[in-house]
Amino acid sequence: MTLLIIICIALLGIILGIILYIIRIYNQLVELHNQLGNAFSQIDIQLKRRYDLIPNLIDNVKQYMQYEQDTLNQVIKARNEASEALNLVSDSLDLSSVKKLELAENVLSQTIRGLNVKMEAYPELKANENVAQLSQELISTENKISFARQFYNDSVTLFNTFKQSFPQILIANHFKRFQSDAPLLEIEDKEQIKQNIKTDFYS
Amino acid sequence: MDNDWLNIYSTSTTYSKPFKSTWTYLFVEVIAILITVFIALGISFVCVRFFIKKPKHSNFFHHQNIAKSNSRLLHFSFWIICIVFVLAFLNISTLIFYTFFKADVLSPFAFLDFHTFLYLHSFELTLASCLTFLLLIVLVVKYIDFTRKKNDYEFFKKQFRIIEYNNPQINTIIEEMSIASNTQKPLVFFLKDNSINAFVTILKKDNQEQYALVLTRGLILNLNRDEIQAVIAHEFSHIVNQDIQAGLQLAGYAFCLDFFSKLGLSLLRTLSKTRRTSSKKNNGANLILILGITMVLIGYVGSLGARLLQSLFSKQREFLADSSATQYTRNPEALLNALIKIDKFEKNNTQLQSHNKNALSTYSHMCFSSVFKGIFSTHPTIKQRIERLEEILKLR
Repeated sequence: MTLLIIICIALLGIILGIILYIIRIYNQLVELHNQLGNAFSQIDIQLKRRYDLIPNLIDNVKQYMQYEQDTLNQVIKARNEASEALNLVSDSLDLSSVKKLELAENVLSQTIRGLNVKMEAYPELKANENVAQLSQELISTENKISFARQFYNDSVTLFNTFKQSFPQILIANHFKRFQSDAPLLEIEDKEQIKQNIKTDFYS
Repeated sequence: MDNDWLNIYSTSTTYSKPFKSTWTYLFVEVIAILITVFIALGISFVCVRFFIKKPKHSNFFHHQNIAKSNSRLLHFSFWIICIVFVLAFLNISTLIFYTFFKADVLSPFAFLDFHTFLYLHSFELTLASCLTFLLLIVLVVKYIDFTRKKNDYEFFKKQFRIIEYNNPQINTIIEEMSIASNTQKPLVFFLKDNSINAFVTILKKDNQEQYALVLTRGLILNLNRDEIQAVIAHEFSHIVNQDIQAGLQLAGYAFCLDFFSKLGLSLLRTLSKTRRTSSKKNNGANLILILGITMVLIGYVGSLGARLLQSLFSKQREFLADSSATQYTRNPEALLNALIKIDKFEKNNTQLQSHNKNALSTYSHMCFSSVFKGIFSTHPTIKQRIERLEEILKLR
């Protein structure tokens, strides 16, 4: 009789332990998933800052670069498209919308680079304090974007590895929001970013 | 001797004296306590020796995980040591009262034993346990005091003559690193000191706890931007991994054990004073002598072990911080160069005394490079750190 009671208690203990373990894994999944959202919102802040800076810069540059209307319009268009793509991603963080943002961001980066090259031809632009400050700020925002993206990608890796390993995968598959892997974000060439970081602040 | 082990660990009460004279009992008891303490120390060190792992491949996430699991193990063995010491402490303080009040019941664990409380209704026992509680409370209060004292903003600024620092380049580095590690921006301070170092701490400003990052003059003068960024990333990872709290906690325990030995010393000192005034021999004085000596011994052995474990723990946290710093900057070369520069700087300037060693040694656990050298050093040697970083560099 006592043996039976002991076995029952042991079984109950084991079941309770398993339930607690499952709860813990679920909570960890939620935590990592939320961290992902938070990491993305950090990129979001920096990208929005960049989208605010671009029209400002264009306004300041306009009077000097009257013959470059095409380039300026291109930049504005690319900026608007990227901004829209970002709004889409903010609503739902899935693979297709992230890919769209990546594309729009790549186009924007290219057009800005083109604008920078064109600006070299106007020495009076360099003398303008506003323009110098704005382009400096744009560069530093780009650095921050790359760091924010790095943190986001790290969190994605952490979440995906945790989710895909055993026994977490058994639990993750039961919940819809944990089923798909989180998408990595690769906006620019890695080499390009490295160069950006190294050259910016000594200039 | 075999029974004494049981005496320490079991709560079963022997309601008769196991030995003929109280003095023999006391002597055996004290020796048993000392043996337990030594065995606990030995076991934990054997554990630590065999279970501390080294990273096998060059991924920095792997390095981080290894350092994390190692420091978890060390923290656990620290807890075990502390529990053993608290038990030893309880044992001794109950012993005092048994012998003073010449109680017949000789169970060192009567304090935890409800039977004794409920069935004996002994005034002496109640008093003894109350006083033990009081002593424990004193220790806890001391511990909390220790952890809180350094946190005040004004106190911090005044004590170490530290000024707030505002430099646009450093600010951008800090902004970038706080984004890379997803932490809030800390307060930034400047320490007038020629050595190359930096540390973080928690400060209480306007009833809000904030992190503070302190950079030395030597750091800003001698390192370039990438290297300063690497050092700041190292400090940020101390914030992210909550090393400040863990370090303070461990220092608090070590401090309590130290306090314990000091208590024993002051006991001995008062004893020698009373001896001088009255040469009359009495049992009480002898008792206090034994108790004082054991307290000092336990305190010293305990704080020695605690400090050793503390330094091992802190070394693992440094490895963790180094590998996290490479995660934030993705630039292990810069960290490597900073370490090499510090090594060279220290070799060239052995004469150079840092003016502000006080501040650096107080926060030695959170510093970038070690303030003390030797077996209790809080940091692994620069050579060991460079070796690990080179292993991370192999990946690229």
